[in-house]
Amino acid sequence: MENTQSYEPSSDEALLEFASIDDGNNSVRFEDYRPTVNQTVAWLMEIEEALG
Amino acid sequence: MSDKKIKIYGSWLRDNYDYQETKSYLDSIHDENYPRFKSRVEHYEFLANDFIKFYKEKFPNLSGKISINYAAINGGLARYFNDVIHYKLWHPIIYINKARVISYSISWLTIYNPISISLTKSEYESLGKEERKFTLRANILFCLYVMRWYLNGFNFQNQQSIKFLYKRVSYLIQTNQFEPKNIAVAFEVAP
Repeated sequence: MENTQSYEPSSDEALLEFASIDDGNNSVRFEDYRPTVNQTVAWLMEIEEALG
Repeated sequence: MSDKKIKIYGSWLRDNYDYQETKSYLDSIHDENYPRFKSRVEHYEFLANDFIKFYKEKFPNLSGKISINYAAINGGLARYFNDVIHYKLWHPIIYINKARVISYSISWLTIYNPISISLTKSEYESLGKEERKFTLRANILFCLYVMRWYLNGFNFQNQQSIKFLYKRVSYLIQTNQFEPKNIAVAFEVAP
């Protein structure tokens, strides 16, 4: 019975918080990290080198 | 508080479970977060454009043959966001582990294959070894490129770990073991 109670949310506010979408930390917005052309080239070369 | 304050967590265990109430609540969450989804789609398209541009320059023979499947990008990301919503709705968590953010995204991309390459039999046979190699693993390379983009967002700079992840994730994809949990484990055991 104690285990069942532990699955109940502590409040409705907490429930709403669970439902909100954000990947990880609120300050992390992946869309802010647009790779430059040079970065893209470097990453793709890095991937090809690693895979062989 | 808004009228969306519906206590659905664990409600399916109760006798008076109302499916429609849960469904409308889920739909409202989808509506609220649609701008975030839309923004992520735009950035995936940006990444795909850069990816294609690089390989068109590298392999001029393929320049008219490679394209982006925009429906696949939308579909794959929609499935990812759907996962995230349910993940947070039914489990007492607030933030998602970065390994899972990447692994769930990649796993849907491997299913939806956003990079399309259209070649006839004779066109394929006329390609060189490197070009054939690329055509066969274009979507794997794209998945790894997207993974690298996410890692940069997390300020993950350990070069040794990144190389390990490239090999491990590509192995899991190629051997058809690309379930999110498997890829998340690869991140957890990275040096």
